[in-house]
Amino acid sequence: MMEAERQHFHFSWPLFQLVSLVKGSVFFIFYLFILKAGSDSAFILALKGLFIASMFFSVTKIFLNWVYTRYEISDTTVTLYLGIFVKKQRNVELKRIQNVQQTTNFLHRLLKLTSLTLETGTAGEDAAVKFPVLSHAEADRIKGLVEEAKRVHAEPLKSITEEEVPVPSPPLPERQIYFTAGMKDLVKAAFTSLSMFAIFPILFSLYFQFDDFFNLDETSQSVFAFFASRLWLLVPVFLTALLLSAIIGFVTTYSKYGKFVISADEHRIYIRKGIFTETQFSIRKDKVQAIKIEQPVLKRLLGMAEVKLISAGSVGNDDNEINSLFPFLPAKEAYRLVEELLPQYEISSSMQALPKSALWIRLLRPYYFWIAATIALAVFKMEWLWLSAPLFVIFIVARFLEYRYTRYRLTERFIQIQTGAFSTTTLLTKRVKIQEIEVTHSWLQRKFGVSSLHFHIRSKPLLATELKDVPRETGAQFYHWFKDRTHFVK
Amino acid sequence: MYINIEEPTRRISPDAVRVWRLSNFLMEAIGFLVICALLVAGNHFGWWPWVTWILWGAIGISLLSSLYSIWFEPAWLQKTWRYEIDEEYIQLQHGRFNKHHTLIPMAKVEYVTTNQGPFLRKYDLYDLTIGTVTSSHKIPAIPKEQALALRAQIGVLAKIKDSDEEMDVAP
Repeated sequence: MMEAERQHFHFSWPLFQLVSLVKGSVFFIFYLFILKAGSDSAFILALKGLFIASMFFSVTKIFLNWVYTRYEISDTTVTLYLGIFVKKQRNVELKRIQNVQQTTNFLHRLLKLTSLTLETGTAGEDAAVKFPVLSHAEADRIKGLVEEAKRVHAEPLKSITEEEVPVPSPPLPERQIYFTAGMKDLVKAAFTSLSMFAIFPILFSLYFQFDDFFNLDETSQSVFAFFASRLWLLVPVFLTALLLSAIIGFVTTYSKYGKFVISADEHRIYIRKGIFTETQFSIRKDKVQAIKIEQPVLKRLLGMAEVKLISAGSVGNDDNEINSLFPFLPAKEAYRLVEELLPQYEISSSMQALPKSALWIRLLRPYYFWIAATIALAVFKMEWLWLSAPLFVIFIVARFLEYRYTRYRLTERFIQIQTGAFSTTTLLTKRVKIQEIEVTHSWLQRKFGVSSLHFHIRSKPLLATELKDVPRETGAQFYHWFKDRTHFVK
Repeated sequence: MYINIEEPTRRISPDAVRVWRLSNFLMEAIGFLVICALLVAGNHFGWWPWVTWILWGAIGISLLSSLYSIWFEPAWLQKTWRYEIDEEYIQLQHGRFNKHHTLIPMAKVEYVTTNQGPFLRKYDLYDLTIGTVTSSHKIPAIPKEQALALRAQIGVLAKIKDSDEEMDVAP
């Protein structure tokens, strides 16, 4: 066993925290020391005092935190020593790690550093082990240890004589590149993600913010009058705005998805993306809990699909999910990519449709939302009550489409489910990855001979999947299918 | 039998009906009193009339829901609750209009606890809560000896974890 050493986080960690502290208090500084610089009011003075005191407190805390936070990594476990006054020790077994994320933001890049997050997939605040600042060498060493942990665990007792020399980091196995986003992909991405229109809401909010200070309304009225008399002038203005927003849209997309590379070796898949802030994500192939294929309306019309690898650990926040295999791929290419990366998964295009009775029961179920909307219209906007009729038609069409696009497939090792009316989602998972199941049937469903299937997969956020209105025989089949899992699981 | 599966056989205590009637009565009574208090306040302070209409509506709904949750629901739920616990699975089944069949592999069970509120204590019953990574399930109103025995049994059986991975060669 390698003797682990207790280490501090990198000495520039306080610097990073100071930067984010200043970033977070920019507004207060601006307000207190620039806008109200000359103010003598007791209230402002008190605020200033309070602000300086809290800054002092935060800065002290940052440094003490650095002094008192240590970590050590052995072959099997990460241990964190935390807390200034209340000491806390956290142990995380390396083999429990579900995925690894490495983020290098602008400041990291300047200082040739990076950050690393090991996700465990447990609930609560302590789900991840975060190394906010470390050298690339140290990050590689930790990643190597995580990778090794499973093998070491499988064949322990390779007694290594204890020596003072640090054990060199285990080499990362050979990697092969499967996908690189080219310029064409990025242009497509910029168009499909509609990020080129993102400028308009920003402009609007800017306008209203300035309006508060400078009373733009008068100015804008005179501008409006100016253009109203020279309509042709609008054309170049409009074109410039469009061009500008296209450029900004492209830059946004480029900074987010530029340098997008998917690679894999025998055991792991690696996704890396981003220009200014570079994010890397890696997951062991056997820790992929499910594959999710999303096709919103626009992407479906353009024949594109987004494939996501579902992990039991967190995969970043909503607008920066890192588990996606490039969101703007043609569907066929996305499927090919999955087959290459995860040969043990089989995505099938021939799935089973729901029985006819499912359509009738779906049309018959109460239209609660429509009823509520109609009542609301009747109460608040009587003259718009006619809207209720087209709304009803939309709901019927949606239900019909939902019936059409709901499909399923149950094979020896997999379950594949597609749902959705306008945008569709397909989920493919292995029987052995399913945590628990439920079959339900309501009174109405019994009248139509159908039942619903539910199952849970480990994922963050929790993925509870429901498939409504399959034949009752399928309900029983599903139940027995899951009950037989014991023959297949290690 | 609507769905062709082997149904679990063990049942929960018949006293569950009385326990649920009591606790549901208490909940409904509190809700009812709150609405009544609001009505009185509304009359006293001269709130808008539509507030009063909504409150009267709420009283009607509260009465209907009391009838269901105090009279019908406890009896139906007790009658339909079944469970089965063996070495490999926990099977749960309940519900009359909406029937649920749940299947949890023993290897996925993370924890098991027994809980007892004041009403359950009166009848010497326990709720058994079984937690997995993704959710938790309650088997309600089990007699004390059975509940404690089940807790011990599940505790032992759930120690064995499977790896979530497939065997290399499927048999």
